[in-house]
Amino acid sequence: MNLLDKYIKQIEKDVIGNKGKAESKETGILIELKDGIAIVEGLYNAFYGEIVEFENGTEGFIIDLSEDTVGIVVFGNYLTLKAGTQVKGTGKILAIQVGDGLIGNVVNPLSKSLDSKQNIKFDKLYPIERIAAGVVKRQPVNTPVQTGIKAIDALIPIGRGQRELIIGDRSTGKTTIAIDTIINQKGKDLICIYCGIGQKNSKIAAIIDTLKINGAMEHTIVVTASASDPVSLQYIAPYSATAMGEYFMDKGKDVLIVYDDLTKHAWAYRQLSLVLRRPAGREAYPGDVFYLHSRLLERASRLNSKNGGGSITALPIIETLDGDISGYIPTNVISITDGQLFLEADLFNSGIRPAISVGLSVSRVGGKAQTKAIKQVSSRLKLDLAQYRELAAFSQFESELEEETKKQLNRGSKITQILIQKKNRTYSLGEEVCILWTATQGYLDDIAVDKVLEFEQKLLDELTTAKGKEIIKKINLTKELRSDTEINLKKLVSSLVKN
Amino acid sequence: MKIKPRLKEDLKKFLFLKLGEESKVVTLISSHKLTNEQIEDIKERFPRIKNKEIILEIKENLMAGFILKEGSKITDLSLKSNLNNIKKNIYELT
Repeated sequence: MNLLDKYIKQIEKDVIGNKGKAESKETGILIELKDGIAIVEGLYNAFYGEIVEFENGTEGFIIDLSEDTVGIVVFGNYLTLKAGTQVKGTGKILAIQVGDGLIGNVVNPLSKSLDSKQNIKFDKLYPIERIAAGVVKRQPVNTPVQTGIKAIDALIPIGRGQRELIIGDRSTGKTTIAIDTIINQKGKDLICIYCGIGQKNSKIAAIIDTLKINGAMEHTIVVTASASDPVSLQYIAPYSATAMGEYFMDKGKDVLIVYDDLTKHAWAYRQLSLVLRRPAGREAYPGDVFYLHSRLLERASRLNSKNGGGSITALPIIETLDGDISGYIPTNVISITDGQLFLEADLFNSGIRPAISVGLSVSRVGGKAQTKAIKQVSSRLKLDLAQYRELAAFSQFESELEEETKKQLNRGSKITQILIQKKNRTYSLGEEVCILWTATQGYLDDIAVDKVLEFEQKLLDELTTAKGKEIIKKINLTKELRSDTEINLKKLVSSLVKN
Repeated sequence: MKIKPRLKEDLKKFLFLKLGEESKVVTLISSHKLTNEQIEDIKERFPRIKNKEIILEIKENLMAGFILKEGSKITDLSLKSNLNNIKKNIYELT
């Protein structure tokens, strides 16, 4: 009863509040309804991006202004609308409610809760589309995002505020990399947003499950517009996820956003554009499909301390067909982002997981953000791997190889093995450094290829003992490999190799 | 087929004329027939429609009150829309 009284009081307040006010509103009449798009006559003084309301309470927003009609994207079920329905302008620009209460929730792009948790506490209204921070407000990337994945942290490091594309064929572990990165942020000061665009509901459910099992939902927001949601929601999903990120960034916090995936987002936009009869270009995408993604990813930034010092790191995902990265959308997004992680189906099938193709993957700015400890071990690693790739290509044809070449080939194959990692098993900085150090110092050279993973497990077990713990703790604390720690590590590893 | 420029001009003139006429007209929709006094009262409260031609319409489903239509702009002061608003408020709260 108490609740009912509260409601009645609230309604009274709302009704009395509007008394005596005569509000004039822009209106129009619905004349045409296509897949998710309503064409409305009237609304002569409406503006682009304005939210409108249909007679039955459904909302939509203006995406197209022509001479005497406007095109409206309908949120929700458009099948109940009828021709002749009155459409009211609200005079508000498309904005969503944001707040700290979002963390740990599964929401749709209009920040309505999708799971049992109701009454999310909101703080502010944020516009879905916002101009990205200008040059004056930014500073270079200087802090790393610890992904907990050895291959990425060592070879293709990602910094806070960077945009790193994850690209690859279907089922090559793109989402897994993103989810592992989110899982590894447990207990760190990085808020994660997973934005699913046009994904299967079953996949989203599995992801939420994985996050919950690994205790990662406490710092994560899941924004989803699934394949069965209207295309309008799929279109705005990444923008509203970014708006949520911006709320935290403006508060000086660091945010990581995963857009899974932008290929489907481009498809959604293509559908809208074609229904709106905009001229189609290559592969029937509209002319502004580049701007569609560039204005989104440009909002990822690292603000300088004058502006709060927050950051948004973007991990967009693109799905390719048959490993073809020269498609229209892949090349667009590659050129927008600060580097890409290219995943290969062949590597994945031969058991090298994460299936990162080291040769084709780059990080244009992440190197500056690497911690000193990783830098100490990774420079040697990169060199060894580069030489290995070069030699491996033509050593297949020659039977007699020089001793030096054989050595390099051996080293390379061991390093490739040591970079293999199980899914949902992330490593701390200390663990990563110890393992990579062991590999670059050549301790793995005398171990058979199929025994490398076994050795790694032994090493990890050793690192949990009292002596090993001290080493890990020191590296995690100082973020560098000091000479005294290195000596301790050397003792530990060489005793392990002897056994 | 090309449209002759003279025809275009004529069409433009016609449209301007029609738009001008439209902007001079205001539609007043009410639930019951309004008396002259009531109309004068409404004009008093909305000074911008004073010099405009008023077309009266009756729609009984408004229940009470009236709607003022000027082009695409609408001022809705009917009981029906007020009730609808309350309905929406209740939905939002629950």
